[in-house]
Amino acid sequence: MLPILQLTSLHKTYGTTHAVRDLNLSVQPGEIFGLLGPNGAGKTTTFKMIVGLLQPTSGNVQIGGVDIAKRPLDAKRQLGFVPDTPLLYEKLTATEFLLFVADLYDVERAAASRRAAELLRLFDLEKNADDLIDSFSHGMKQKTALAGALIHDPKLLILDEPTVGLDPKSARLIKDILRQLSERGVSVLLSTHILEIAERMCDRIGIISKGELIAVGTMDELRGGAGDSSLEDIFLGLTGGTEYAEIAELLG
Amino acid sequence: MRNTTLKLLRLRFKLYWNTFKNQSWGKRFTSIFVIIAMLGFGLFLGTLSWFFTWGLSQPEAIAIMQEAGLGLDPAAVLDQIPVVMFTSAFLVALLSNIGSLLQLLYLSGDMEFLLAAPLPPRAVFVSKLAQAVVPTFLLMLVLFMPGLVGLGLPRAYGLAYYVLIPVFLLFYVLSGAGLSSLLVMAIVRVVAPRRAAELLGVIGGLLAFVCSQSGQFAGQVGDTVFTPDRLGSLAGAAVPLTSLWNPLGWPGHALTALGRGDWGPGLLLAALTTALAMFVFGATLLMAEKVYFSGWARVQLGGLRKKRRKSVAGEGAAHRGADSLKGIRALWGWLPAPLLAVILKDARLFRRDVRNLSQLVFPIIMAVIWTVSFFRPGVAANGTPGVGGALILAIFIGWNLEIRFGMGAFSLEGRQWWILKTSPISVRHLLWSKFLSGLVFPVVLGALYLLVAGVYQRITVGLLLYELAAFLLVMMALMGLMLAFGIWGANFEWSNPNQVQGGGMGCLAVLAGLFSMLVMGLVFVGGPFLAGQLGWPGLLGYGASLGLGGLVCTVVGVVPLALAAPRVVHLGEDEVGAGRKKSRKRAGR
Repeated sequence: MLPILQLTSLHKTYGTTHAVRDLNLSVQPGEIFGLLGPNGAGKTTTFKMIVGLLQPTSGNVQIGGVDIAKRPLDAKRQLGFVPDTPLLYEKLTATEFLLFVADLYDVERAAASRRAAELLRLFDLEKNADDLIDSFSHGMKQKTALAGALIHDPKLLILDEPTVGLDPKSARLIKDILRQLSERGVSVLLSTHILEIAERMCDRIGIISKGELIAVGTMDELRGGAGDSSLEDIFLGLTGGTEYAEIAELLG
Repeated sequence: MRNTTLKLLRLRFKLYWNTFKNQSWGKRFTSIFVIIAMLGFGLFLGTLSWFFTWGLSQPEAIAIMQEAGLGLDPAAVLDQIPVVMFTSAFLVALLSNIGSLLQLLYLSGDMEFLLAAPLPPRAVFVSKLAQAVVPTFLLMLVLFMPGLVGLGLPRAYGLAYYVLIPVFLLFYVLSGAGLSSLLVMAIVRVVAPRRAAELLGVIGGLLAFVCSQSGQFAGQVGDTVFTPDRLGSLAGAAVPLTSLWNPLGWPGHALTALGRGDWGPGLLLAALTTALAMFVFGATLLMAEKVYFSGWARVQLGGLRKKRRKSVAGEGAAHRGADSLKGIRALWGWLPAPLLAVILKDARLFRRDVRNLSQLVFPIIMAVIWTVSFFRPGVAANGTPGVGGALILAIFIGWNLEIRFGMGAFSLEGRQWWILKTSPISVRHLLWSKFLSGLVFPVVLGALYLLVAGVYQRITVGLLLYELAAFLLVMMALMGLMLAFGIWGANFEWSNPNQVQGGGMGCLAVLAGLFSMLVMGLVFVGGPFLAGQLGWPGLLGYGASLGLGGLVCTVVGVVPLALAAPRVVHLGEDEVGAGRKKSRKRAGR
């Protein structure tokens, strides 16, 4: 089956710093893929290259078989993206924002209105539909951004730390939605620092450190037959950080 | 409390110093140059004051003033200058600090951190107040101290005069800023701080504009308005300000008396000045402590209140959102949906940000002022009402609006640029949307102006159509040019519409716009005139001008935009790179 996302030898440098190096990755239709890594590992840079916010120094990004560098519009039409900080047009209402995004993706007007209403209801934003976004809390903005990413029914959803700043109810809602989307064939590529989310939700997990993908696979594959070790143990074992336990003990 | 205040002030100084240290060499050089220029300006003011005082002390000056019928005693005028200066210093401190204190007390990002830390609230307030006062005080020192020193030297004032100038300036700046802080606290109880800041920006901009234009306008009406009789009356009306009953004048009177060596009244007034300043500042501090923290907490809670435009929910809202644009969509429906979406989004954001108001109001005020001066009796009669005045004015007004729309087209997307950049909108559509959204308002406004001016001038329909066609062509060309500069100078860190004309690229855009306008204006206005001189038929002159003008406009509007367009796909990537570069630099240290 043709992967919905295919990264081939993706490389990004800033001067002499290699933010991402030789990244090869594929995400299958309907798969939820979690990209984990310490701060500054290159997750956000990778996401930005996938969605077209950054040009790779070398390598190739294909979305649904379409090269984003060669046919950016066709590639972007298949994508929905929510960045780590939901910076939205503050002087638009939630409804106006969703309809604006729908227009950008050329969604038919009646369908866009219907879908905007559905999404606002789904994300519990119905009562705030006509409020300006600048009056929203962080969580509400995050949900509005996610609704915006879903309004055109994307094939691949890219979420950079989607549950940051959300209350447990909203976080649960997003997890349920992602699961449902996955069942409908939508692929999800997400990054998170909450390893429990990755462990429970993701079909496959990739661990990135210093710009390199150092491990990828299902939970079982990552454990590599090493009993029932948690994702946290695997993550810290691969990226370093077990030594911090000693420091914490000293502080305690 | 004192230690904490000093610690907070030291922290602030460290932040300023670090900002300066991490700036590029160009910016550092500019900062140093600005400081040197300010000091030079102060020196100039001091010299001017010295000459002025010396001149007015000469017997000839008294004779001249009497001849002019002003009936003023030069010595008395000089005595009142310190009074006027201290009154001005207080008023400047009171008014100019409202904006900065609003930012510092309610909109700065460190307030939660400071209030959560175990710091005395008074220390936090005083450090914030000092942040506002220090720049104002330094500015006052540069602007007023040289003038006062220049006044004292020719009159051989004693040492006490010079020593007390900075002391009294500090007292009155502190009092002014203190009262200003109370005013800010009162304002935010009525208007949300962010909204208040936007409104203050508009008011400040308008005042600055009115001041700059009034100088130009005064030159035209000065002869009839500023007669010796009226100036005499004006001086008489200012007497209460300079009387001893006006507390704002006390430091000025005290300095003059001490300078002359009148120690009794001088010391009494100096003591009164000190006591008044201490009382006002102390009372402000006590009141502010009570009002500020409850107000700040209230503002934080108020921030959570919903800014509901209309209470309609869910599906109805989404449908209504679509329906409210039905009219516009019917008119512009032939445009591709993504293109129209950006135009409508820009229109909504423009309408809802009150700071844009000032940018609309300036050209309209300019239009009124210039129209009055251009068409006022005597000028219109002598002038040729053919192609010219109204067209040039319409172009200039329209261009003023286009600078904002063009230069801000991409920059004002700000940190929301990711939304457009990740969406499937082509560069061509994006450019068209920005071009059209920037063009519509200036063209409508300018066309209306041309129509009104045409009716007033009773020009022929043919001439009016020529003016409208030429105006449209020039507006399109200038919009393309401004958009090109908007791409070259895009800065997504800007959030204030007033920033778009700043910086080197803004300056270049203005110069390029002025030069292009000159060339296009020459073709469209000069063409028919030249045709008349050569004895060509009128229609041929207008036709040739439109043809040649159209060609010039195409070059001006299309070539720079075509050169800038390839940059659009890369816009926003520099910010990421720059952030990385700074991080590496810091890590390297």
